[in-house]
Amino acid sequence: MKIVYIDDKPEMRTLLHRFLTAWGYDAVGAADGENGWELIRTERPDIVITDWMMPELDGVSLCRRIRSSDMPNYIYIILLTARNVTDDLVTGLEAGADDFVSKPFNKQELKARINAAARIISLERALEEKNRQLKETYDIIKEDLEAAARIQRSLIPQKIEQFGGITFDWLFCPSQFVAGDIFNILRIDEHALAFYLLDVSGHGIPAALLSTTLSRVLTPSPNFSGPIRRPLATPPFYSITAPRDVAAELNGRFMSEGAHTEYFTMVYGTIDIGSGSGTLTQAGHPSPIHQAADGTVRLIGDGGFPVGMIPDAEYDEHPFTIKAGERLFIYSDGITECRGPDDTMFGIDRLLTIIRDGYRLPLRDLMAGIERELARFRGEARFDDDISLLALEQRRGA
Amino acid sequence: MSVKVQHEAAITVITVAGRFDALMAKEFKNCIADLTDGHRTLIALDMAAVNFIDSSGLGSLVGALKGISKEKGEIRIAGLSPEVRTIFELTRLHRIFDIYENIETACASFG
Repeated sequence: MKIVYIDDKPEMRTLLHRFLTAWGYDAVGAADGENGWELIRTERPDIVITDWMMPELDGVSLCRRIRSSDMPNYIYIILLTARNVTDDLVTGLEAGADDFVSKPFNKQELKARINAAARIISLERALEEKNRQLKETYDIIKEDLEAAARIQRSLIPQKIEQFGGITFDWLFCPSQFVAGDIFNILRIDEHALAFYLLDVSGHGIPAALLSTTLSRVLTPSPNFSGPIRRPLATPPFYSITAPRDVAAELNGRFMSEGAHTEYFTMVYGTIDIGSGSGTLTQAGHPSPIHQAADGTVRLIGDGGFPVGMIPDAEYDEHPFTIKAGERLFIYSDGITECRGPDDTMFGIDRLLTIIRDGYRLPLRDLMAGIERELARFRGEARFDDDISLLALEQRRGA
Repeated sequence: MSVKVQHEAAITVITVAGRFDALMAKEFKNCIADLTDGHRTLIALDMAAVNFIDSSGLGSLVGALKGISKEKGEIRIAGLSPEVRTIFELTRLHRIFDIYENIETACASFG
């Protein structure tokens, strides 16, 4: 442990040097405040012992200078005071001194006080090291989570596309870095699209691992394996799986075992690009909203079992059509169960009203409006739950 | 926390209140695990004072149902608030659980 001592009296410096080195400290001395300050900056000591009364820069001013500098480590300062001068220890303390030793000093007392200082500095350094390790670990975790969030974002649509007269848009705000919500809209073949929005129970990494897996499983594969398309022996060599069967298959594959109840709710559907008609299945997920060309809104379906919860569950199917100027909205309960400052929920009625009133707005403007309204209702930057909304639209006059 | 346990002869009455979210789900799961370990598997769950249930809460209920059924026990639910009933209906859990008007009828149903 390194000590810088400062005193204008040569005999005092000799004495201090002898004692400090004898006690095992690495000691360097200076004859006045300015030289002492230079030494402190170059030597980076753990402890400074300085005389109070010195010409030019005195001990109290040196204390202030040390405390106002941006030294990386805490320096413990002991002020040497003349005996009888009970003058103000308060001034010394306020300037940043940690302890006082009166001159002429008692050798044993000086030793005890320096040892006490060394103990405090050791604790300080150990704490700094722990903090450094914590920060390092946190930085690694944060970097990983940010990378995971980028991967997850790469699994949702990257840009708005046009499929015949059908287009779509979305909102996606994970409540943490990564989300248990995920959605997509995918071309199955030249005639049909598949779309889904799902919400894995719980939050954070466990939920995100499952939502990411599901996104992969629900991507049509070139060899027709996977639940969306089934291989056939004759042309076109595949059949498109009915939405209710997709839900039932996922239910079998992702059944939660024992006390682990990891499951998800989902809306999955297919739609014919030419006619705008399709079917969807609702697995424990909030009912999709259909908006007619005149703005009228209605809910599709009234429920269904979540996926991965009840073995051999059967699922219902609901037909729908989005004609010119009509839209379909699928959303997670993060929207309807979003809580405002007074604990009230955003609710389905608010969402229905915004969608109905915004039927003449371009889809992008309506989506931005919903996002603004949610943020305003919430009253703070963070949401409790993931927010996701997928909207499909058949162009007006298409 | 608000998971309370009361023994009435062979039946155990569990009362939950407030928000049935991840935090309460954890407590509820522990409570069910203790009961099944102690072979007390006739359970009446009073949810009259629950005003909100999230996905973790629903998951813990279904987990309890599976765990208790495996031990040849039964769990019956009483007193769903309109908010909670809506979520039970949306997820079809009202078809999976035996649901009673109030805790007295739920307890009486065990005969």
